[in-house]
Order: sequence, then C-alpha cells, then structure tokens
Amino acid sequence: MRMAAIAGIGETKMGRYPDRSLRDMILEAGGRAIADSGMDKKEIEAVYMGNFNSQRLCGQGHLGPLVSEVLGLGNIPTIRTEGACASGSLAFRMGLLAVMSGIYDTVLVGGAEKMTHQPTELVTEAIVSAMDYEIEAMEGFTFPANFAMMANRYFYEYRNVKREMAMNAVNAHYNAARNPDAQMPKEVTLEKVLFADLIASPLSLFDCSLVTDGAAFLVLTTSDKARALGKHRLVEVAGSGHAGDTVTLYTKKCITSFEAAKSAAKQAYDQAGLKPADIDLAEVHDCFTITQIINLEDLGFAEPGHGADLVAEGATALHGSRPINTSGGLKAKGHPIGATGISQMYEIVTQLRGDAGARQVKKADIGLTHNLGGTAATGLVHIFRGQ
Amino acid sequence: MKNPTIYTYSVLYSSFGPFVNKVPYVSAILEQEDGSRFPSLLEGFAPEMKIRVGQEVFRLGKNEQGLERYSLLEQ
Repeated sequence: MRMAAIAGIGETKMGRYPDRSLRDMILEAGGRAIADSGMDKKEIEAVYMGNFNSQRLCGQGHLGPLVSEVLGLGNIPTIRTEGACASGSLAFRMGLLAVMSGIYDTVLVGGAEKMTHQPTELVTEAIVSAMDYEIEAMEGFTFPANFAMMANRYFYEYRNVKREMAMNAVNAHYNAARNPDAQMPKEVTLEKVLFADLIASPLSLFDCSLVTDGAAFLVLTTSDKARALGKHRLVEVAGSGHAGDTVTLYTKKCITSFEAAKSAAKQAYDQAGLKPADIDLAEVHDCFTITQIINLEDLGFAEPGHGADLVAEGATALHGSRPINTSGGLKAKGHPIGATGISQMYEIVTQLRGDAGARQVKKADIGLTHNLGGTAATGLVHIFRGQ
Repeated sequence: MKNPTIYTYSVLYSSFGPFVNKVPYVSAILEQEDGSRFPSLLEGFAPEMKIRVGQEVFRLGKNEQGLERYSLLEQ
C-alpha cells in the first residue's frame, strides 16, 4: 500500500448562513482546498463527499456530482458517504483507501451541511434519524438525552464530572476565540456553563455542540506527489481506523466507553506504529462535553474513569501537555454534521503546518482526529504526521 | 417477575415532534432482573422529584400501540 498525504485544505467559516446555498459553500471550501494544493484541478480523479441530511433539510441529494459540477472537475466518478456525524471522516477513509491502493493518485474529499435555515424542531427531528427511529426516537429519545444518559451512568460508575465537563466547554470557547473560522469565537466562564439552562439533565445548553452550516475539503494524493509540490511541511496520513457498534444505546455492552472508537483507535495506532503517548494534539468528537471525557479514555490518553482528571489538571487546554480541540471543537468551532470530520482534519493539518496563528501549539508533529456517528455507532480515527 | 430498575436516565427539557408538549419528561434505559435492557419514557415525573440509577419503576400496562409503559410512582 502507498502512503498518502494532504496536499490542500479549505473550509468556510462555520456559522449560521440562511442566505447561503450548499453550492455556494461547496464552491468556497472546495475551491480553497484545490487552490491551496497548488495542483491543477484536472489532476483530481474522483470526489468523496460526506453529507448527513441535505435531502431532508435542503431538498438536495446526490451531492457527489453536485460537487464535481460546481467545482468544474469534469465528469469524474463521485461518491456521497453517510454515517451521521461521521459522514466526513467516512468520505476521507474511502478516498484514502482509493489512493493507498492505487485506484486513484489524487482525490478531493469533502463534507458539507446546511441546517440553520430550518426550524429547530425540524432540525432535531432530522438529527434523530441517526438513532433507531422506531425504538428510541418514538420513545422520545433525542441525542442530548442519549448522551445525558451516558453522563448519568458515568457519574454512577465513576464520579460526578460535571465541573470538568464545563471546563471542556470553557476550553473550547477559549480556543474558538482564536480561530477565525469558528462559529462561536467568544470566551465563556465556568459559572456561565455550570448554571446554564438544562437541555437534558445533566447536560445544559453549554454542554451541547452547535447547529452549524459549513463545508470543508481536502485534496488527498500520494505522498510522492505531495512531496513534489514542495510545501514547507508534508502532512502524511500515518494511520486510519474505522469501526462500528450497535445503533441503539440500550444494546451496547457498555455506555461509558465507545467500542467503535476504541477499535478504530487501535487500528490507527497499529497502522501508524504509534502509541497514545506519541500524539501531540487531537481533535475529538465533543458533540457533548461528557463525550470529550469518554473520548480521552477511549483514545488511551487516560485510564477508564480518569478522563476528567486530565481536564482538571489543564493537560487538554491550548497550552497543556496534550491540547484537545484547539479549533474550538464541535462545541465552539461548530458541528456542520457532514463536514465535521473534514473540519477536524483541517485543524490538524493547519497545526502540523504551523499555520494556526494565535492558537498554534508549540509541538505539533503528530495529530489525531476522532469522529463519531450517531450514538457512537460509527467510529473513525485518523493519525497525521507532519515532516 | 420483579419490576425493572433504572440503568440510566435523563430529564428532557427540550424535544421534538409529538414530545414537545411533554417536557419535562424522563427518558430512561431500564434493566430487567436478568440484565436485559430496554428504552422507556417514564411516566409520573414531577419537577422536584429525585431520580437515581438503580431505582425501581412500576408497570402501568400497555398503551394504544401495545408498548409496555412504566411509571416512577407506584400506583
């Protein structure tokens, strides 16, 4: 198998854009990624496009050829991937396998979602379609409820980590305030998070990620081709993992740890020949603040039940020993569902290139992305090495 | 057969579709004596009520869809 590398990155600013179309966001983010690569668009042989719910929320399906047409890529093969919040990372994984196996040399991988123009109730109902609709949604379950139930079980099995959950939100907003592409670039206090209105106990408004419009793209090519572009730093894909678990919460063996994430992480670490201790920084799927604590454990950064200790010690803060979600994460950069996985990679590549400005971390040689779909039914982990 | 107990729960203050008018309500995963689990919307919640993992819940009978319903309160 060949090695692959990221040749170009591009994204929109994340936010609420009722007047912007999917086409418009794809044109901006995709165009930026191609321009950043320095490659001729004729070199792009295929498109892998992540999207969750544009058919329901925008009346637009078949996003693959929409991307190739909007970006003027000609009549090339395209695929749309759907894996709920992990749709973008799934697209990346498919594109990566194609490049590594030699099917294509260069592909465009992206994600886009447009949600905020619809009423909150409709958006909630559309998002709920990523759980089991008949068994869970028709019992009144929502995603905040599912993750809140994980939190309450976590409190029961280990300890109450509500304060550390709030610290995750504070850190996310601090980082987002230093990210020009973030949807909520505003710092918040611990008290504001702790005493915000409840959405699903114990999760309050600031424990929940954002509803976001946005798009993000990457140009993925062979390491040899990327090296020939002469960029100041090559960012290679060192490891990739993809795993699954049951779609319903009640059927999972354990709800205080995610099997799909742990399995995907093991695959990625093994492929890269790396250990958790080798990771300098990570973008993890903080759809809710409790998720980030569980993620730290699933990725091997902390023992089970001790993820919150890392947060309390400051290790996960921007200038801590292992910065987490330097972009602001899903919590404050935003969660444009189908684009989220690619948006996470955009941040890691930016950090590994040393281009993250006010939020640049000191040591950024190896970065990791962690993306979950649904109630952690789909898990993807990718490891990137800058050199 | 013993009543199930609460494996985990959440009180919802925001929801969608037919559940919007039910807030606040309790979503829970219940556990049977044999360790099997299932999801349920629990009846009988009042805002001042304390709920805990391991708490027993009580059968109410089946609803019009044939689903077994449970309550936090003994009838």
